Amino acid sequence: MSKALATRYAKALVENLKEHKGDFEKAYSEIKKVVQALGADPRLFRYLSQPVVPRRDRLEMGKVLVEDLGLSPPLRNFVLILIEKERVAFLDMIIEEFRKLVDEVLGQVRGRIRTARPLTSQDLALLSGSFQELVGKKVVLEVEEEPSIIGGVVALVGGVVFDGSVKGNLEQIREKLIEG
Amino acid sequence: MGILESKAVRRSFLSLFLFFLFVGIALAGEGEEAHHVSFMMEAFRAINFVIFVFLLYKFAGQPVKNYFKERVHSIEVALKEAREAQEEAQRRAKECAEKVKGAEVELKGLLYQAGKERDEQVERVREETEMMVERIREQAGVAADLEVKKARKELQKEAAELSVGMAERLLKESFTDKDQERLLKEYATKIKGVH
Repeated sequence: MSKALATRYAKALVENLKEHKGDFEKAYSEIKKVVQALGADPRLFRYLSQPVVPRRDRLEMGKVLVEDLGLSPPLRNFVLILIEKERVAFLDMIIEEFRKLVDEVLGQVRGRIRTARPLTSQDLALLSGSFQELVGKKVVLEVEEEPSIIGGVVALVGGVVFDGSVKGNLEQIREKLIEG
Repeated sequence: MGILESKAVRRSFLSLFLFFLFVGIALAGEGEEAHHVSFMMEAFRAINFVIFVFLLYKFAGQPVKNYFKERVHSIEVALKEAREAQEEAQRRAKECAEKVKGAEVELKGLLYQAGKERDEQVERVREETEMMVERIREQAGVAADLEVKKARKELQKEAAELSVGMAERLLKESFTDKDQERLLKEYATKIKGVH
């Protein structure tokens, strides 16, 4: 039920962006900023999501939030609608559905890449190009730093893990040594 | 009915009593002239005896005959009963002897069977014990092998952990940006080659 609801809101946002020729990637990064801001402040999340708080007060607080985050007009309206309709609690699911829809619309695949050291734009382009060749679609990579992997990268693209980390290689060596 | 209660018997006893009275009187009279025993006297005695026998036969013959007949019959019945009792006793004695004999045979059979069963049981227990010992020995062998394998595996694991841990420490210390660059290039090439 909640998934259907999230899909409905995500579709609405996609249609709105298409209508106003909005930037999907920018919208995605903006909505992620909202999720991060609410995740960082649970009191704010509770205030905006609970029906016991008067709608007017919630909307006032919402306006302050979207102003602070500097959201574009389509995203600003979208977030305020969620606050008004008491759908803030579904934001995580909405962003997930939105991401899938955007990827479908743009004909791309989204992947996550973990790296021990920061990647340059050339590194990112090199990796995106390689995965694009592999899956036959444009691959958008979201980078996450993880020093525990020592070196190399670990990518999750299309539900498949591609482990090229030093840590991963050491794990394989360890398993081979144990197996004898 | 008792023998003394019979009329014929009572009459016989009365006759005997009269006879002895008569003979007693005659002998008393005779005592005075004992030394004058004559032929007449002997004849008288003979006649007297004949009369006595006749009277005895006449009055006491039939009852005495009946008495002895009954007596014979009762003795015959008693003898028959005694014979039957004897035969019964003999039969029972024979039965008892046969039973005793049978019991002895049975006892021998039982003793033989018990001995046989004891021997079989002893043999069975011995075989089971041997099998159990063998099984325990095999299990101990298997357990020992498993323990050795387990210990070997543990050592292998420990050695692997130590080696990898050491390698990890060294790599953390010595890994450079150049290495990262090289790894990324290799990784990108490998990804292109995956199909």
